[in-house]
Amino acid sequence: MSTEAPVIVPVTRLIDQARVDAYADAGHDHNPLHLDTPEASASQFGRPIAHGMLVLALVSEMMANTFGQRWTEGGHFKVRWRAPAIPPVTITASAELKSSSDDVATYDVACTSDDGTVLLTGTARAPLDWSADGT
Amino acid sequence: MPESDEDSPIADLSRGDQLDTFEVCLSAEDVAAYLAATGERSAVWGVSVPPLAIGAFALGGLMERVGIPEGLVHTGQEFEFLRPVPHGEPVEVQITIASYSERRGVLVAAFDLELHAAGELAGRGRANIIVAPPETAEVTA
Repeated sequence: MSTEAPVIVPVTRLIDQARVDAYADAGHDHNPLHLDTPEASASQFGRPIAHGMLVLALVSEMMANTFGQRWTEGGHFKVRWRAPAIPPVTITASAELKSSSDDVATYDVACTSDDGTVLLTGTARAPLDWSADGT
Repeated sequence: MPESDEDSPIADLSRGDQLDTFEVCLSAEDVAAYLAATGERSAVWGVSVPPLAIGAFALGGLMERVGIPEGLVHTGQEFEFLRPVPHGEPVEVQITIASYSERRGVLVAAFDLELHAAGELAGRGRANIIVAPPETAEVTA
């Protein structure tokens, strides 16, 4: 039985330096570009930038909120980062249905900062041949 | 610490090379720390690991092995998740250099990742990076 492609609710979150620091610890990614370091100060941005994977996590969260654990059983995304996220910044991940068939839905996804800067774009798809709450 | 391009093991890579397989294993505590850091609150991850967390740890392992050269830019990422991974289940990470080229001092590379858990393919993906002099880098992730 086919399932109609669900509308995906956006996710919005403040990414501040404390969150970036916590992500560096949790993800074991201490690239100095993301931390309060001389390297970050000397970079073209003049200060730390958020991990791209931390921004991308909003996309995965958004998809998991809709598709539940089944996001781990056929979920797919392909994204490119378009601009750095410089903390503190509030980011919204959003998805718009691009296409759907009987068994898969594909969305255009994006992460946008509160000043309108597009930080990330791409596509995400998830299987539809199961209940949308992942049960 | 970032390394110069010449000092980093990344300078020795070639298309088709395979890195030594390594393992990542996220405990319930690791997952809790990851979720606290990202801000994600979904109850979905009470038993299984958020697949992007596995991807993040796999990429961290990649960077440990090839170094973090100065000017490294993570430009793109693709992942396909095929199987849930319970907390504490080891995941074997296999990485192949899918492409690697250098022109005018800018290195462009893609790494294919395969994630195996309990003998099954649990996920796969591709990470795209460039390593450019800071003054030429446009997008940094």
